[in-house]
Amino acid sequence: MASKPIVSEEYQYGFNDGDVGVLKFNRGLRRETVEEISKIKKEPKWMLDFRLHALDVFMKKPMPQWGGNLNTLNFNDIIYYVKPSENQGRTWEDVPQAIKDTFERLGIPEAERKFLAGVSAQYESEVVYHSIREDLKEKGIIFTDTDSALREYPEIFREYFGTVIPPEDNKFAALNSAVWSGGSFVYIPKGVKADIPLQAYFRINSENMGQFERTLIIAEDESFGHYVEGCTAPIYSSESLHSAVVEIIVKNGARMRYTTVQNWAPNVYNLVTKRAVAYKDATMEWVDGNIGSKLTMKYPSVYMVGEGAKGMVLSIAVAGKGQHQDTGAKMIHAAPHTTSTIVSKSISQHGGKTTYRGLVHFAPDAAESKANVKCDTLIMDDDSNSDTIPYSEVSNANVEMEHEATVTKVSEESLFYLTSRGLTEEEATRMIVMGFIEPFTRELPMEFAVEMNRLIKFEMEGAIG
Amino acid sequence: MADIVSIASDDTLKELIQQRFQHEPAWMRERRLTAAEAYFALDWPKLSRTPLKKRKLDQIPVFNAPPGSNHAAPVFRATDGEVKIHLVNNQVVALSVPSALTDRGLVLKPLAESLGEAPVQEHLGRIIPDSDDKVTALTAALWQNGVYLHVPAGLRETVQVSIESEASQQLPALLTRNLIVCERGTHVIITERLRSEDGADKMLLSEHTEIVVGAGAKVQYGAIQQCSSRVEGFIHRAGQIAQDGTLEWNIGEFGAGLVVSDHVSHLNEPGALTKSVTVFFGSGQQHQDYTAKSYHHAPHTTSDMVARGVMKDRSRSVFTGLTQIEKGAKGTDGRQREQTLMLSDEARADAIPSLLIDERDVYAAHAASAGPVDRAALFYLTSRGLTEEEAERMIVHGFLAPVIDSIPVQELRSEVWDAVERKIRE
Repeated sequence: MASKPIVSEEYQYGFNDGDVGVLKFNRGLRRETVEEISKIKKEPKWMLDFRLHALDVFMKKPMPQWGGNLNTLNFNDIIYYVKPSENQGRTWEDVPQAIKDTFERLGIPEAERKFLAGVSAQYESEVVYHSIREDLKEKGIIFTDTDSALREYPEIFREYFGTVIPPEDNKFAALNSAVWSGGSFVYIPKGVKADIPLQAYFRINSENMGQFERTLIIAEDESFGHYVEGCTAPIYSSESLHSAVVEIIVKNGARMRYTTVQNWAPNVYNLVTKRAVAYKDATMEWVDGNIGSKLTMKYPSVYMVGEGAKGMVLSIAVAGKGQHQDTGAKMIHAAPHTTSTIVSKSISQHGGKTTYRGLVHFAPDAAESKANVKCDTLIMDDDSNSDTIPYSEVSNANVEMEHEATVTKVSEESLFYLTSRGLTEEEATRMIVMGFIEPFTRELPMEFAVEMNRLIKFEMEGAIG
Repeated sequence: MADIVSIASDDTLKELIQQRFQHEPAWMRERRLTAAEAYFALDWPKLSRTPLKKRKLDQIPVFNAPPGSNHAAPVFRATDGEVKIHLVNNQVVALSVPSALTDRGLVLKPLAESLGEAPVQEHLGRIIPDSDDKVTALTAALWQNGVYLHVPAGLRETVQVSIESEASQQLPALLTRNLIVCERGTHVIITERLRSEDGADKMLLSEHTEIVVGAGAKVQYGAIQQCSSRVEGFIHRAGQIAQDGTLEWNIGEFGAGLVVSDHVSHLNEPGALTKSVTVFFGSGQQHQDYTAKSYHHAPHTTSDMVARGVMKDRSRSVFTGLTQIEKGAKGTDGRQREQTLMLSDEARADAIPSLLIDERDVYAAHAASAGPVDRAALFYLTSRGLTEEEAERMIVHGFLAPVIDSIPVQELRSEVWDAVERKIRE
């Protein structure tokens, strides 16, 4: 049995740029930390009050006792705010050289030229570069960083901010609400279709950095948008924390797709709350790839509150040495004729652990609704393991829920078949794994899919891309 | 009825134990006393989807329940071939074992009379711990009686055993322990029937059934629970299976206001196999919390757990399945299937079919589904002249038939069908 890793233990994006920040907070979280962040950002009083309330909630809530091991996460070791540059760049020339080099190594400007409608790049706590294509701007699409949105679009902002995920939701949502900085704000007006993706890129550079971006997306009636995010960080000996909150409102008849390829370094705690509300006939799609991090706890959710709403989560999780991917999805059917689909593919190897943890809930009002869940796991070697923990709650007689899951190894029959056709065992294994994750890569934007396949292929060979 | 026995501390509970169980061997009394301490230290079971607080279990006068009398009850030893024990309020009212079997070493006795038997000392409380929570600790401290069955190696023919347990109208608590030891190569079919008379006051029913399956032995354990709605039931059943042994569970759950019931299989040695079928039917205000677990501790072990439930009225069910495969348990196969048919919008059914896998070389799978009565089928049947009730009844039958018809004992099978029929018409 080939035991080459699917994802290399050698992380490609583990370089760091030294200390480039122009302002870096001391470690630890106090009331003053929160006040200082709000002051630097010159925020209105309501936001400061919101943050301070969230801080109280955070302090009161106990650490979650389920999911991954959070014992080594020490909130006092984290640096809660790092300002990487004085100004946000509108063109690449404005971005400080060191940061520009980083993003160039990560291929962001190249990607932008090729296929993106807009790009936002966040480095530490702030968005350092931002652009959007003129034609989309003319259609009324707003794509900016969340701090600018609070200043420039205070009314829409206040109407929706914190409504999908209140600070009380969970400890990490409360933490994010207290110290959030950066993230994307997307507003797509009624009937507007943004048919090419908007992309945000998140990079942590400093050791023990806590990145708390906050994303808010509003898709008005009959609109369409596709938002893509990618994340990386350097490798340090001690941990960093990424704790984002993503709130999405998909109004009547609109469709929103949110694609993530998370490739954090293996020392990052990735504890993220992502939730969308889908109104009448709206469609929300999460395409969620979790490849890096030390521990990821992330369960993208769709609350289907309008008749005919649809939710989809398509995810892959790959856990290598020392990694735990505790991921899944939540589908809340709160209105009639709602439909949801969850497809989850997990691969654990080299002592890694994957957990699928999901919920499908049918409220009493969810008549004629349907949910379909399919989870498949491949365990690649004897040191790795996998848990599958799906919850289903049915409170209505006229719904259909189907759930299927399998946990297997790479089938010896398939290997035998392929090797007898002249492939090496390694090539055969790779081919089987590619086939296993194909439902996921198929849904990525083409350039991403090519990159994803390249990443998996290179890393299975143990090579560095 | 005797005066309410009020117990406020472990000292008074210990006194009660010393008094009630003075005739028992010291080792057993020690176990009871240890459990008595645990009873006060522990909490009621913590079930995430079955909150017990509002059920006011602490108001049931459990200490008032008399111990099972061991000597007063008449014991019949028949020779007509039936192997049968019948307990009412945990007192034996009938017991029959053909002498052809006792002569060859088969033992069927009330457990309270079997404490001198070596296998009882060896196995009792080894599979189900004495004190996980307040209910198990109470059971370990004050269990009244139950059944001890020992089928020795060398008994070649299939042994069919029937266990009947009933509780009368006034009994506040039925605390039962059963121990079943089936040695190497035996084949034993057990049918347990659990019933209670209706009454005004709540009754706490707690039962621990432990089953030891020897190498190559095959045990088919069937149970049907039809208690009245005054019963708050906690039923733990667990078996350990040696090399190439088989343990089959066929569980029909119909009665009780609250029932928390689990059956657990420990696949301890290579070749061990377990199959389980659970049929449940919720109606009225019933709250049912079921768990089926298979632990693969050894390589080349197999588990297959199936549950089918029908939910009507305002009933509520939780079904948790767990397949756990330990590291090193290579070549194992663990499967679960769980299906619920929803007959009412006010009913609620939750399912949590988990797989915890620490080994690569396995096949593990689960499938769960919930859905309504198929309207096309309903339309077809009513257009053929059936009333809607009759049509629905037929559909429920069709839904349950594959699992009920797989129950091996004809008698139990028809009793399960009768129970389903009653539930449909309820």
